[in-house]
Amino acid sequence: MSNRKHRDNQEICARKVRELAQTGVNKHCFECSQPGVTYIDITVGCFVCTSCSGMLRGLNPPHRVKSISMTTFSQQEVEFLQNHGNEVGRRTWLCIFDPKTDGCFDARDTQKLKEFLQDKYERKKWHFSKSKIRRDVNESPWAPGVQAVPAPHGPAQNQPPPGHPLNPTARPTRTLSQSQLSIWDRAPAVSPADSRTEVFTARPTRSQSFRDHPIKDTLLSGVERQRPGTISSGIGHQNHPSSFPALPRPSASSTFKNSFTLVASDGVSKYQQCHAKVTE
Amino acid sequence: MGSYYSLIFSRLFPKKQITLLMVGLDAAGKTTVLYKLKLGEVVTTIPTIGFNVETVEYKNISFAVWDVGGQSKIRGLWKYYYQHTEGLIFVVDSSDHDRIETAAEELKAMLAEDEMRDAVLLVLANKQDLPKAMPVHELTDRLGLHTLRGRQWFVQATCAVQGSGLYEGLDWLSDQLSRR
Repeated sequence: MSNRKHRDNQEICARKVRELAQTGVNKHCFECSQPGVTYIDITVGCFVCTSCSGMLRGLNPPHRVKSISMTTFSQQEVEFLQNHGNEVGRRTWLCIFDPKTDGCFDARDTQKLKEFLQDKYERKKWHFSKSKIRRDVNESPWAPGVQAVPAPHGPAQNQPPPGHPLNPTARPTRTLSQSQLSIWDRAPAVSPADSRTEVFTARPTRSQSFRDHPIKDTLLSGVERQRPGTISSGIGHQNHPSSFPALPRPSASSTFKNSFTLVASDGVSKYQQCHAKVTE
Repeated sequence: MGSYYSLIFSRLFPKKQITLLMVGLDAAGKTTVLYKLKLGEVVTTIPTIGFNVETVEYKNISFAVWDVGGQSKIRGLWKYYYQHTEGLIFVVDSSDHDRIETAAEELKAMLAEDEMRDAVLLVLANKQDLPKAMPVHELTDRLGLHTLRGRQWFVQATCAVQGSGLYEGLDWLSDQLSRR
């Protein structure tokens, strides 16, 4: 029985990932811009093509890539992807990239592409931390990812989740640090307002449509958040409510795999409708 | 004339053929290991969907190495490669602490298969060059190799991009299999 639930869960996650891969800028490879993505760079949460996925694995430290169709995704990973994606990736890793000065190259030239990836991820040449805006707000207190929402929305902002690691430097180098997230929204000049990006920016953005219960919203963990229409029985949530806002480590999925008991029900289709609305 | 002698030589001392199956979780470095052995070069690989197969000549033994993709949904296909496998190479990313349990489960399930009962097990503790790579003894513990009964196994520390440890692994395999 639990096996079946687990499988249903995986099905739902896989469907969500496929939907994300068909949305907006995610349709094009984050590295070489060719249409049709087949892999996900789960380290940074971007959608890429097969050949770029190979190169990302060869970086130092290597990025972890997952095939959209040949792997399974955990709830955490789906949330991570919903909060990231190619647009957020561009604002993070290509923040100060200027095609005129930094040069365009033929993406078929694998050597150039490799150098580009090394500049981008290993040297962080165009990373937003190199931008001036970043330096200005550098002094601001670090805020966990859940607060990385456009400011105007109330109470959810002021409640850092309990037990959240407060030391950004302690985060693994393979994932985006939380402090990076907060910057995008604190400094809107960096983030071009694209209606579509809202889907990826931060998870509470999606729940803005259900702003009636913002406080409850922060207390619920991932599964319920995504299905605002149905409050599930809450099994398995007690274990890790505070861990939710943290960006999932790319390979920590096994820890959580069994904790979620998401059943395919009406709530899912409601979620999808809501999700579709936001993406429009 | 030379070719005539070599023909006689090869008839008298035929090359031993050994079939090896190389599996492991995705991004463990299986394809890199295979092509490092075959070409002596580090190639940029893409995630394997399906398999790669190459024959590697070493010490007058011809190893047919089957490298099968390790992403979660295609691990179910490993079983179709079990038949006639004499040696199993299980490649582990030593720096991947989070998924070592998954690797251990996959290995355990595979060794429980009937078709694998005679296969010797070589574990390649790959990516030893990376920081925080688990040493061999820790990997041995976490993979539960000490609990294996009636199985010849060996853990070899490797770094596929530098090529270190790969031939030592093949040495062990050829040792074990030529005794049969």
